[in-house]
Amino acid sequence: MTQVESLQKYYQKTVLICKGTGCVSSKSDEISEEFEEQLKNFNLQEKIKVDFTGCHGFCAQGPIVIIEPEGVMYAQVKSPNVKQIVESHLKNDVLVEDLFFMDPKLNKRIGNYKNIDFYSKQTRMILGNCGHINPEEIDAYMNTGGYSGLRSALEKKPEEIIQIITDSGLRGRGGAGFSTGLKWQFCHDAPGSEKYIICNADEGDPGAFMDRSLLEADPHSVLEGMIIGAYAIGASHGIIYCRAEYPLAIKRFSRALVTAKERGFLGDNILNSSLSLDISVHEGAGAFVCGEETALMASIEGHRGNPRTRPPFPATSGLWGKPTNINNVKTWASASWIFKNGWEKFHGIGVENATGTAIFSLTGKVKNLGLIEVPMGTPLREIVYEIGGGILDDREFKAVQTGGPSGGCLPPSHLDSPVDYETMAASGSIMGSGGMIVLDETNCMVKLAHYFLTFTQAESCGKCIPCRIGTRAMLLILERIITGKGEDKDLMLLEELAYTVKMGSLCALGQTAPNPVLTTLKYFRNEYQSHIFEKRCLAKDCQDLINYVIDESLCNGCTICARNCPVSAITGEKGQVHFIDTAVCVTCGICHSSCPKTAIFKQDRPQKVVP
Amino acid sequence: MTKWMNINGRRVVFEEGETVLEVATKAGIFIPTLCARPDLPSFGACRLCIIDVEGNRTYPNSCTLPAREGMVVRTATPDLQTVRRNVFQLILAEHPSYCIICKEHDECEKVRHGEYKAGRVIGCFTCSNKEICEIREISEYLRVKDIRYPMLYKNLPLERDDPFLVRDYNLCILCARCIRACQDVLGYSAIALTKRGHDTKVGTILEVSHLESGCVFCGHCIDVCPTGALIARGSTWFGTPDKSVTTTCNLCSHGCQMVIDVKWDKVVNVHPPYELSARREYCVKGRFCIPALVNGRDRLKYPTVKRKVIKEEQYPVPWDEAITHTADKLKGYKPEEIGIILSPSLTDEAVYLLLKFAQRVSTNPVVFIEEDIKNLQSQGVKAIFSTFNSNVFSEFDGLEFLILQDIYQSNSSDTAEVVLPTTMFAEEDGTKSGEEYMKYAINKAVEPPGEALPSWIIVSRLAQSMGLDGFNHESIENLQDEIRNAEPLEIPKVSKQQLEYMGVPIADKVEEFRLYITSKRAINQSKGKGVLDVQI
Ligand SMILES: Cc1cc2nc3c(=O)[nH]c(=O)nc-3n(C[C@H](O)[C@H](O)[C@H](O)COP(=O)(O)O)c2cc1C
Ligand code: SF4
Ligand code: SF4
Ligand code: SF4
Ligand code: SF4
Ligand code: SF4
Ligand code: FES
Ligand code: FES
Repeated sequence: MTQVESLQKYYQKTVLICKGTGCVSSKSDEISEEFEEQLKNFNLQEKIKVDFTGCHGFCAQGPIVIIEPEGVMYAQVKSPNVKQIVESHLKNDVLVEDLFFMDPKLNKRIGNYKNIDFYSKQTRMILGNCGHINPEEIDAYMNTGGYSGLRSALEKKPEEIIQIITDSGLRGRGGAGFSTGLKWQFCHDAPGSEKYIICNADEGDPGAFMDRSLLEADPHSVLEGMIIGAYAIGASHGIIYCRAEYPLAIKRFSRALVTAKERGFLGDNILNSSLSLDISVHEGAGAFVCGEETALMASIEGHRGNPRTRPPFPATSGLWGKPTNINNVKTWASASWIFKNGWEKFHGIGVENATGTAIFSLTGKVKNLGLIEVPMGTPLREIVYEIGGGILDDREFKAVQTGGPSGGCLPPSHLDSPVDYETMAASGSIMGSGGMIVLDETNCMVKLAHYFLTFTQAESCGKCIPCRIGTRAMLLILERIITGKGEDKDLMLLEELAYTVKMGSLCALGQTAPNPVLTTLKYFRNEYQSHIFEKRCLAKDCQDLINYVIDESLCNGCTICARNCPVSAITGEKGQVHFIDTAVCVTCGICHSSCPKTAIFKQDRPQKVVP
Repeated sequence: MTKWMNINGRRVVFEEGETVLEVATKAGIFIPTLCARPDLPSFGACRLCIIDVEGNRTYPNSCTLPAREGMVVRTATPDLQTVRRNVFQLILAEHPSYCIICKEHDECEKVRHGEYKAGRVIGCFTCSNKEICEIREISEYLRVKDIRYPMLYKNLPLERDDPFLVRDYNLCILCARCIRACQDVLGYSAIALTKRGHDTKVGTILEVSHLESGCVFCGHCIDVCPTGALIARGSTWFGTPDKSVTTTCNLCSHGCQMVIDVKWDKVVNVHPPYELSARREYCVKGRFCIPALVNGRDRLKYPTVKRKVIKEEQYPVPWDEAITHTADKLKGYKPEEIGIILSPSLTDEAVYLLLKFAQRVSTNPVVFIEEDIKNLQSQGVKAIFSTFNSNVFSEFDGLEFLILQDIYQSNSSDTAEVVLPTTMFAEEDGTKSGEEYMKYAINKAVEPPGEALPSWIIVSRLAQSMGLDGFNHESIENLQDEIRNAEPLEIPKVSKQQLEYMGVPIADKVEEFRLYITSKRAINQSKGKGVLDVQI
């Protein structure tokens, strides 16, 4: 019996309002109050319940309101729309079609979320509860079968549990994809009576928010996984390391800890078993490098978040020198899923070396943006064109960048490659923890590499020389390339530096930092070459290599561009064709995006001829 | 059971717990390092010590990698050397490294021995670290002759906000040796790594000055720094010393071994010996005050005797005259009227001779500390031979004849009838008994100022002039032979606290030291701590 079903015993309908971070920032709290208010106005408060959920992964469409049991989804609901929904839908049973989600691919409005491609093409397992249950009520979770997996696990021997995890084929979702079963085994086998488990919720990749979303929407699924893991490993202390910028995730997980303890899922002799476990929350200061396991543990111990070399591995000498098992948020949630649904089922999803699902944060130039969950091995094309709905404005697809700042860019020829650890690695990218950025013909790949390197070089902990200085040197070279000052030798230097940083760096941050550069060099070398040798940006994306020009045949002299230009580079009488003085223009692009006639276009900047 | 591993195709033994670097070093296999140091916990930052371990995808640091039975390791494959060289070039790209890659390097080294005065280090030729620089050593090993990467000189301001250290973090390679020395070895944690990415630097927490950061100015950070980033203030611009003399600090009786660098017969720097076994924690006096102390402008240089010509004043006189005057006048006092005062900073030889002298001319106990001087007054003492200055003399009733043997001008050197300039420990040979009856050698590094003489010579001349026998030693060796065969003489005892304090009145002559004490006191007071809480 799901929570919704149980509620229907008393209520005819439920209004589920998303209160994930995204929707809260688009004011879903107000919507919720407005619903309570309007239901009273129409005297429906006895028949219809207002409840809330965590993130649906579709935050760009937020605030999202779902009406159960019919499963109607209203997108981008504003406060004034509430009255309309209550009166029309809830009172008179007339759906408010204007507030349905507008499918950008089909160009029509769709009411039932089950019919939206963005959802229907996904396989939502780990995210299954997200958006459907109240994350602050333990009963809501238990009504979906929650903690039944823990019960059955505690009846088994730790060795059997590890065997089940191994058989499921689960691999770490934090980036490296190490076998979770093996990892638990190592820590289980490590000598020592005091052991730790850690949930890594640092999530420092720019643009990634799957861990936050999961913790906000279904914290118990993570917690249950941790309890099962602690039992298998023999740990009596658990820590979740969550970045302080995630207050809602921390709040919901902390609440889950309290309620789980009330029900006897934490504390001494859990469910009368030999397991005693306490779990605490550690707020991290939000450095990307603190997601690296050794830096993370240093940070918990109160030191500066510097990675160290392994061995010793955390499994033998981790937190406070004790055997420690550290897993990602999604890995822990997968473990509880496996115990609830059976390892065979998990193993049956995905492909040979990558079972289960992958969760991505899909962004960039696709029509549907958000968190998605697909079986491992799903081809990129399906993700981009079906779930993502294709490229914005139906432009040409250029590349997909996966794995965040440590990942790489894959060209159109890889669109049919399956998304799994080995295939990604072979093409120079990584699964990473799940960033996926889609790029189109208007994106310059050199600029993209520059963007990611700007991030990594700033986030380097600064400990080891190749990473600290090497990434900065690479960035300077990229900077001169995108500004048209590239030199003949730069490609060679970049490659050499990329190799040095990759082989020379101490931790995976440095070792993977060159990936965006290496893969763009591999698949989009011509773009580098045109920047260096012709001083041209093929995507017309690099500010210093283009000019903005007004098309005389399109300009109607509305003066909008001239009024918006920050440096007054545009001249022209009202009603007359306007003109951009390229000597004054700083190529900010404001006029380009503000011209109602799209009369302003980009042109390669003619190069000064050096005698 | 013996454990074996394989390095570069050679089977080598190792002991459990050793790192691969340690095993290789013992086996005589060189691996370049910049951040590792045997006396510090390993850190693994410079990445020069990377090695190729069979079965590993990445190159681990040998300085942190524990050796394992059966491990197969290569230390110098072409690929390792390429990565190392490139990593090293990255260091040079940040560093003022022009001298290292300069085409005229070899010729220049021949002509330019010393440093040239410049506002800050702009290359090895202006760097005080030049002679012992580990960067230069590595560059020779890796044969890096140019830097192909963009220059990344940070152009950070020089840090000179305390009296003793100058820090030019443009030279810093962030090996964190200083931090490990300060934090892990000494437990002070005055400095730490701050900021992130390329902006990472060594600094104090909250960027306060070292005076406020808990730094005790032991200088250990300077001593472990592989570059010229950290320097003792005064030592910067003298260039390669003409000579370096190992001796024992005589500002207290801890017996710290130290090397005195000498240029143009001046003490220009003091630092610990490079042998790690001789290392110990220095106090601020020994580490930073000695050059200023020895070279002080107020040093006593010529013997003087007070004469009344127009009014009573000190007049410089030849040594013989000063000695004869003293001897003649001293002979007029009875043994119970004569007091002898011993300075803690005398050599063993001088102490021995003074005690021997005292046995012959005085019946009073030889005194060591100020409180005891007051007691001499009640004994009816009228003539005092003192080897240090004390304020007590001005209040000493009935004092008729004060002979002061000292190194610095003071109020007493104006009131004393005879002033005899003596040497500091850097200017004489001898022996010093330290704690736990250890004996240390004191070696002469520079000539004393003016006509100042070692204390034992002064005493011996005075005794001879008074007609006493047994004081005609021809040389210090001569005296040492006698001491070796003599009954040990009873040396007055001092407490550990007094012992540590001993050098303070002397170091007080140094302006930087006074500044240090004043500001430490002010900081302590502002923190509500006692004024006397100052650690010296
Ligand atoms: C620079 C860097 C950042 C990382 N950030 C994270 C992170 O935010 N979350 C995470 O789970 N793992 C992160 N990792 C991976 C962790 O080191 C570790 O492999 C992971 O937590 C193991 O969990 P898993 O086996 O469940 O994947 C990062 C690694 C590196 C090198
Ligand atoms: S690779 Fe980068 S992040 Fe990792 S230890 Fe080195 S400097 Fe720090
Ligand atoms: S690009 Fe920016 S600066 Fe140039 S003309 Fe347009 S608005 Fe002005
Ligand atoms: S530390 Fe000084 S001597 Fe050493 S390389 Fe740098 S500038 Fe030259
Ligand atoms: S002088 Fe001593 S206490 Fe001060 S920073 Fe250096 S090592 Fe630390
Ligand atoms: S100051 Fe010297 S010892 Fe300290 S980190 Fe820099 S180079 Fe290393
Ligand atoms: S927060 Fe509402 S959909 Fe993500
Ligand atoms: S000596 Fe090992 S990393 Fe520096």
